[in-house]
Amino acid sequence: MVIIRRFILYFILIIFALFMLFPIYSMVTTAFKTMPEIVGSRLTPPTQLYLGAFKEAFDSIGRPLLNSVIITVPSALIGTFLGSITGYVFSKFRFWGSDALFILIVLGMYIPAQAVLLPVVKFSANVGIFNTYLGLILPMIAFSIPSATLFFRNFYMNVPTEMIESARVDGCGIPGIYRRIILPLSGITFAVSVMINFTWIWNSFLWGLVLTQGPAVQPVMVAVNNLHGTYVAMWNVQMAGSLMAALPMVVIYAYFGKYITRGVLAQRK
Amino acid sequence: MDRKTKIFIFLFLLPAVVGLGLYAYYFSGWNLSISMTNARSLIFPAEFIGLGNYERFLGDSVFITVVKNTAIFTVLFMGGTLLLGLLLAILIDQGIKGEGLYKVIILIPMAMPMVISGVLWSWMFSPRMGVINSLLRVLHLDFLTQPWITSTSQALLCVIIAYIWVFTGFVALLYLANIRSLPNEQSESARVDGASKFQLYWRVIIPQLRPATVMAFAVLFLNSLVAFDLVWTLTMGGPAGSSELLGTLMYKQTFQWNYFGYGAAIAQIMFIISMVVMVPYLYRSIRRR
Repeated sequence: MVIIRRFILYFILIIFALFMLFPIYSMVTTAFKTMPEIVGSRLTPPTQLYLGAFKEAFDSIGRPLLNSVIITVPSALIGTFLGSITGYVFSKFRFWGSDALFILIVLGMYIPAQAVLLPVVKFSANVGIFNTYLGLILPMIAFSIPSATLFFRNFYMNVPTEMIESARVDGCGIPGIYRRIILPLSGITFAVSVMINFTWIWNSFLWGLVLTQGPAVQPVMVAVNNLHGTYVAMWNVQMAGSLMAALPMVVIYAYFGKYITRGVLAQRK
Repeated sequence: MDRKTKIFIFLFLLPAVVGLGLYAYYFSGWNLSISMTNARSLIFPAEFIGLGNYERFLGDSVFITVVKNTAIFTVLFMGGTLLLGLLLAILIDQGIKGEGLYKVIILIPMAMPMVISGVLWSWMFSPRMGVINSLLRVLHLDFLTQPWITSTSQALLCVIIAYIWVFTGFVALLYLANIRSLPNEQSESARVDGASKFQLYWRVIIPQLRPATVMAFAVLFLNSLVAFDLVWTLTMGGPAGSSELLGTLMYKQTFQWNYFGYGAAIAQIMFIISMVVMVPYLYRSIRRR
């Protein structure tokens, strides 16, 4: 009885695992096949490692990959830093309207991107940052702040106030306390927040779709979508492009997997 | 609080206040005002038409389609993900070999960018070459092959399956964390009283999983409300509007057909729904801390 139960348990778990892994398996194997090989069989692994599809996909998404790095890295870093100083203030100081202001800032993460998209396009065109890196970096920073603020505020709440008081007695101002006490304590929190922001900015699609034109500034997710539209029947090229665009996520995920869950809780736009 | 402290608080909050004030609040206000015009261009001035766009949307034939699709999508996606996630969490909780690795595996779909999940599933669901139909043919189940994303009756279902794929592992881990954090006494006493495993979960454990459910609900709801990336790469809302959701309709109206006022009105409706559902959630979760 127990053995049958265990058997059924593992059987169902394996079904779930296959469901999760099958599309990934298919992406990786298809990316290394030639088209004739794909026409022959979609399910078997490749007989040789064909890299032509990667080369072809890279011609289209190479530049956008670089664009995404240029957009994502500063946005994730600055967004995290701003979230950290904002979270610090809300964790340790109370002033008139501080609760309301905190809620308004955090509420920013529940504003659908769609609800500000058109004004952002108009504004960016007006001030001349449409189709520039800056035009994408600014909204990415702004929408990184809410979740980062919440994240850091919850973390700093646990930093004992006595520590801060004693530093203040020693003559530290607020920036001094932040730099000497708060910041050194936030190492791993900082790294996690950067990764969380990196993830959503790298993965974001709609912003790049409406704020860029042509490949010069275009982020990689837009380029992958275009690849999907232009190489309609060339599934190996589509899969190779997808694999390359997903690679940074795979790396981050390998190191920060368990934290991504939390990040998703905070924000996914 | 001395003057210097006040100045520094002001300076520390300034970037967040300016950034969000502009990008979140000023722009959503601007969007509201665009939604009350008949704007069709970024340059030429538009006429104020009050709630005209909202009225037009309510009377539009696509309105019924989108409401129906959104209802089906939200219910099946959220229901399916919550149920499968809960089931998976309970199964993992039975004490399995290789739990760490298993958790990594089920979280992989969530780590994938939504655009890429869309491309992946369009490969899965492609009717002629696609992987699922190929698999069915290899298994000699040809009669089960489907038109999938090319069929008006199945496209939305394909989107739902892809979304369930993305979020199930994540919800399972939420539930698992909740189950593991429950105090042991109740389960122990239930076991002493001779409760079966099923009774233990059904009567003792599941009723205590409210925190994970609320959290998962919030994440899934927000994602289904703003759904765009995956739907766009998988079906583009088609064929013939059969998988059209608010996000895809808003994009088409605004950025493909230049009905700026109309698109802004649809976006504004998304904004209102999000606030109505998320503000109480946020209020609750902040107050509890």
